[in-house]
Amino acid sequence: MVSLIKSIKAHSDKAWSVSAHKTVPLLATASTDKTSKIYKLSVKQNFPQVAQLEDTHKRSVRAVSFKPPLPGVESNFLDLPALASGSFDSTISIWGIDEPETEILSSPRNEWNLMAIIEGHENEIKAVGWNHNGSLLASCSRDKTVWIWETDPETLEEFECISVLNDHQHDIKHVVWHPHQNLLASSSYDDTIRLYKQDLDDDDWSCVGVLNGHEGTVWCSQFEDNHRHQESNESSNRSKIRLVSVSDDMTARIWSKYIPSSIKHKSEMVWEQESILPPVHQYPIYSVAWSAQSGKIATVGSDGKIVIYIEGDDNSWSIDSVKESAHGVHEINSIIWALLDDQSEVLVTAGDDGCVNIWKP
Amino acid sequence: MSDPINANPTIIDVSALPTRISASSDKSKSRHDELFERVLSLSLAPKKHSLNIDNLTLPDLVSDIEMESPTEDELSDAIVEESEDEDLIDEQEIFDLISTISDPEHPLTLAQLAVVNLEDIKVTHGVNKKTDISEVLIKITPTITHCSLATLIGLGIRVRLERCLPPRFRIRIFIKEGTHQSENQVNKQLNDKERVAAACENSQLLTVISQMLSTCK
Repeated sequence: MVSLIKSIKAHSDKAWSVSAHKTVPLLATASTDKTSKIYKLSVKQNFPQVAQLEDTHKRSVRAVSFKPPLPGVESNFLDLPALASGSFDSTISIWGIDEPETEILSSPRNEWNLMAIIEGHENEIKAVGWNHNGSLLASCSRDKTVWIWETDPETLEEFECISVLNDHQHDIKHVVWHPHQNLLASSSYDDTIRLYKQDLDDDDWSCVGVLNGHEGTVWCSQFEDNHRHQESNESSNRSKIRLVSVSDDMTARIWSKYIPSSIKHKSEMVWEQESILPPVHQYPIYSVAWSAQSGKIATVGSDGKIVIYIEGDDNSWSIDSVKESAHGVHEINSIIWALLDDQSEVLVTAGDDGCVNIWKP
Repeated sequence: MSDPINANPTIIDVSALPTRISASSDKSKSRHDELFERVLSLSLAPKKHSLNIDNLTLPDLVSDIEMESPTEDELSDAIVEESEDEDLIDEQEIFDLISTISDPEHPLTLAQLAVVNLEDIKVTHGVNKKTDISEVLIKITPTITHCSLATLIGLGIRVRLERCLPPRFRIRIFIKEGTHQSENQVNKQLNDKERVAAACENSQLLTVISQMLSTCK
């Protein structure tokens, strides 16, 4: 059963998005009230607010995303937490913290500094996402484009736009990177999901796949992180990539693609719809999260329910648990899996009531 | 302003419209008055300056003009508190909330133009008001099939209801089947919460909607 650990009244207006840092137990929020807040993911300390990011965006902050830690860097001194926020004001702000991790976790307030404001999109930004090593940031907008920005993940000093992808027909609602490779997925008001890769010869980014099937706006998608599973199963020379997507059509779908271990030059990826998760939601589904730890999928949406799905044998999915009225009568806009400071896995949701709720799954 | 899109609309006399307003009995009058007063306080301030609606990039919901100033205080969300008055939220109550919205083009209300009709409103209540979701479904009838202002009218209705109804209501607004040439497109925009939220941060669009809602009782 899903049980509430903590409800935080984070914002005076809609809370749109939440993001958790991968290694430092910090949570970030985004709201219509034009601010973001940072909380410590600590039960012992009762989830204190440690920072408020404000006076930067002129309109709603729609999305937040923590930069993943640099791979293979032992010293945290070189790799301080950083955050990207996307706003309806068409800009992205990049925030960084100037203290070592031990300080971050011991001090009651953290000093977050505005490091950059990225301009380029014509209108509202709907989502932002970092690739696995923090060297690339993707953003998407109602202007029907996905932009890929390149940066030095250690300094975050400059963000250079290396590609503008305009394959979608409409408003783009969400972007997400594969957790271990430079494969990007975008979800759109045109009812499709598109996948993008960089061409190995000329470095150009291009659309390598289109997922058709949803009968309404696709609000969000997430890749499966089966890294651990693959390590224990190296006999297979083909790695399976899977994606889950949620839509206005009230369905959650899983898509899969087997690719040879040596990816062919410019090969078009052909994806298949593997399954539709058992129907539970009665209104549009806005957000989905796929746990790297348990392999479970959680969805939320307009009907205020949290639904957790579990996979059985033969890729068959069943309902693990359902939490009704998780934000009272309000709609839920975002869900993520996160780790607390004691390494236990929780779900975090953000709703129209401005609350951020933390759940024991 | 340029020539109206529909220069000769059919007009219904106000006295012929269904309403609870005139039918209220003495016993319930004070309660109604109280409600009307509250509803009145939710109405937007009268227009400060007129805008040419032709400049709006409808039906894209939001123009590309950057908004420099924050949303005005008068637009802060005011919601009918959970109270006894909630018992009144039925089809007639919804009709009374939206019927007096002005058409963006004519000096007439949406009810006078038969854009909103009582029989095209459906309210579905959950069992438990504290936890269950209720739904209002409204089908609007544009005055002419290529009316480019259908999205704006729908948005005005949505804004009005979002401000007046308790948060448990899910508001669904559709174009009545067969009355508009791009029904699906308009329906999709009107029921996309993110597009609506973004539109409501556009000062120019809000000014037009304020004008439409300024006649609400």
